[in-house]
Amino acid sequence: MAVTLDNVTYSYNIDDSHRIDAVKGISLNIKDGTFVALVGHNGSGKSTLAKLLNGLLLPTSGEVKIFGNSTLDPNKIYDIRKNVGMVFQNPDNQMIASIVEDDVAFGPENLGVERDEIINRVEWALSKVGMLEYRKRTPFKMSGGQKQRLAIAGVLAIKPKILVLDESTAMLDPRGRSEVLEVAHELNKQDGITVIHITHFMEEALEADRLIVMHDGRIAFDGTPREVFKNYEELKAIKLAVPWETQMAISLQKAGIDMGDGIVNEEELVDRLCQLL
Amino acid sequence: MSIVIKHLSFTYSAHTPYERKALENINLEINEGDFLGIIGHTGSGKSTFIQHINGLIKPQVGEVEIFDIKLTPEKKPKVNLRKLRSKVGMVFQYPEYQLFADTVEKDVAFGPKNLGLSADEVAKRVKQAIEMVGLDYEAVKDRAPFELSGGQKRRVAIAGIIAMQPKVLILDEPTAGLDPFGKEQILNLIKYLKTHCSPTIIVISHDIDEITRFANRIVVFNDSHIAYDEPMQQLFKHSRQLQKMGLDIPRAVKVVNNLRARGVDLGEEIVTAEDLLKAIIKRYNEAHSTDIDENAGIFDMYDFSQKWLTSEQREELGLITRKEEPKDEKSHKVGKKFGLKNDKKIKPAKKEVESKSKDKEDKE
Amino acid sequence: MREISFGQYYPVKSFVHNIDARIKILITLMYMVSVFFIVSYTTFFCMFFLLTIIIAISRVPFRIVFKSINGLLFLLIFTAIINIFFTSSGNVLLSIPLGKLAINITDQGINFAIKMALRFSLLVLGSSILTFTTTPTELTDALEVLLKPLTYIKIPVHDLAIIMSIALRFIPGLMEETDKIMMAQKARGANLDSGNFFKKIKAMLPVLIPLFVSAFRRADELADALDARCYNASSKRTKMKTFELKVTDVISFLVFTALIVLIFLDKYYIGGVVQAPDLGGFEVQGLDIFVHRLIMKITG
Repeated sequence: MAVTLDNVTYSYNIDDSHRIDAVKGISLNIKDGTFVALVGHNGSGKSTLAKLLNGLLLPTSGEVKIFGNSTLDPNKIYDIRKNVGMVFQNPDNQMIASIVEDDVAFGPENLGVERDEIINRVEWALSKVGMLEYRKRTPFKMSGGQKQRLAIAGVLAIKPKILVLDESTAMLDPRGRSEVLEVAHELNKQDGITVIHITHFMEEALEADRLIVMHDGRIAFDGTPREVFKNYEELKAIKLAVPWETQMAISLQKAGIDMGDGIVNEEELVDRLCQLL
Repeated sequence: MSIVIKHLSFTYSAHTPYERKALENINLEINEGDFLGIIGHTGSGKSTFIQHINGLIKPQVGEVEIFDIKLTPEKKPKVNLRKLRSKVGMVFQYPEYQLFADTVEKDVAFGPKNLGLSADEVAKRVKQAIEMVGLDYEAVKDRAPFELSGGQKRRVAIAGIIAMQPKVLILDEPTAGLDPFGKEQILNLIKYLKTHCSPTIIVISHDIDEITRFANRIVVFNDSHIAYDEPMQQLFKHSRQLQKMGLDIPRAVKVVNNLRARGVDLGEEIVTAEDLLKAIIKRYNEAHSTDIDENAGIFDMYDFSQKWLTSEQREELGLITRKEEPKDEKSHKVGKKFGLKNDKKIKPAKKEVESKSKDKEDKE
Repeated sequence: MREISFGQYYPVKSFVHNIDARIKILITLMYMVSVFFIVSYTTFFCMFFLLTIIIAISRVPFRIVFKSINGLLFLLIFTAIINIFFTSSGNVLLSIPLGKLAINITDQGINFAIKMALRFSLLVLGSSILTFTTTPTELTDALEVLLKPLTYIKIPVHDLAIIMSIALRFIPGLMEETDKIMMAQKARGANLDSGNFFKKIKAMLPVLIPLFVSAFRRADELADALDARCYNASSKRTKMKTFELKVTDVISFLVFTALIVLIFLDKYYIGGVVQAPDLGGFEVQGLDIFVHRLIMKITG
């Protein structure tokens, strides 16, 4: 099991008298090699969950295990961080060096990897995210999508088995979002990296193997995207929406046109409409 | 004619290796009442363009005329700029990052105070503006902006601009970084401001599906030029060219184009989800000789009844529901979106979901 | 979008840009020290001539290089004037009575002042050539290598280098942010640049507060990013970049060393001071003696 959460709770003080439980007793198993989308609105606890995965936060109670190693074990923390590559939200605040390849090299340098191996890894990581030609450049004038791909390259160079995208698409435009998602799916398919993609855009979960919806520190739904989308009324009630195409089908259905079940993307919508019209 | 731009050109860092052309011979007239959407890539010149309209950048070549204030490359006395800014309000990207005062009230008051208004007038405008963005004045006025959630902070920042009661309101990527529900709220707010605050609104956005929600005219920037300037319903006749520029087209247009390619032509001028619903129902009625009401389709992706919040929590969040009632057919539809008419029953969600929601947004 | 780009780096390709940053730093340091040992106008002339050639090779426009002096003009004039007033040796050219005291302006005073101004310009020009042709990143990397010996006396050179490189990395962003915030507050009618000093400070608060908030937020996020990338995971850190000297680096270094030797020869060997009778006993130094004699011979 890549990730095991056992009755994990995380709480913090907002002031002297108030405590907030951001994550409330979550138990969860994620198999090696799956692409998991973790969706929830702001304040649902999804980002806290992400930071629990690589020991940036430690559970108040319960246990988080990465390939059997608990994040509570201080001797294992760097093993865990080596295995869990984490990309954050703001594309501007993750780069350490001013030159692309120096930045990608930062992780393996910290781990004391041999020089030749670092060069190999930098080339590999940059080509994985399609940014090899930018290796000598500075990220200053790049688009958000490019910067986030670089951030992914930066953690790939550590050779993680799990990639956590902690709302990494939130600040990007639609094009940047699809760039980042594409890279994540490729890494999942070609290199077998387990991806945990945290987002508040439901449509980004479409291609995932598994969709976990969080609300109020708990798991509200857990299943394949198609299964979860069937609960669209409930999703709406927790400030989430199904993909546009699904909503279109639902709206037509309600108006009295039989759209059938389970339309989640444009292709399916167009197919069904062609049959009908 | 509220804004006239003639032969406007602008170059950054001229005569250095960093030289970059941002605008080249831009001509545009923006009329009172326009709900103008501006789209284009990062670096297409659109941000530089709107900064001209607010007098934040002096034209290098050409001129910008805003109401009766003329900005030209020559030096101009400062008095005009302040007057200009009272007429043209500008909400920058991530405006919540510019909040600085220790209370919401003081922050919102910053703009009107700078306009030199009397204390009474400032206080009146602040209250009005805070309520206009959908926050409860009494609940939020003494709170620190930093305590609020992301979406609320953004609304406070917008209140800071509309308290200056600008005739033209410019918003640069107003929904960037928000979650879908927060986006939806801001979009509805912008529509509301159009009728209740600033008659002319200009919005820059990367997300075409957002722009088409309200714009009546769209200007496309490409490579420092204006590539298209069309009424919204007409623009997507150029779908192919827009896609060539690397710009998105609305989802409804994509569906229509795909259907057309497969022999089902729903006609031109379908841009929004509502347009598409209507067109499909109409076509369905023709094909199956049924009699479904063309307006029966309601595209409600989000639920604005806010039923998941107890009234106590709503008070804590400073969320209020505007009290005005829809008067005519047209505003009736808008009212529905605002969740003013709670005729639809919401099924209770799963048990886990039902547990009391604290909704401390942004505290995670 | 900023009008001027950050730092001083001028991005063109040239021989000077291509020289190893460590060599450039060493040369600049040696140069800066030796400038203080220049005594004769002839050497000054040679140095300016040399700098002109270097600037030409570096392909940085002269206009831009001289702008860097422009900014320091005030300082330059100030030091020159101090020198004029506080040198009392030499022939008195002008005496300004100041109550019981008198300030004498002497030919030596003017001589020193001019030389001081020349030295100052040489310093500014020389160091700006370094910053015009070397990226901040190259500079930090080179400094980390050059300062490496300090690790033996327990100075955390690597951490310092990381701090420096992060600072360099974030300066452009923060500058852009400052611009944005200033624009945003101006759009709210803020008057940021009038009134006296205290008024200005107060007027800047709406810019400074959000800027600090943003800087802290960035720092927070960056700290997470550093942790996530295993910063401090291993005591034996490796480096991807190694510095390998090119032949041209070595040659440039030798050429410069030779020049600097010339400066010291000028001062200590050719040296000496001669009072030129035809200049009213004005003291002529170093190579200038030969030049002076040469001019005397030609003019008879």
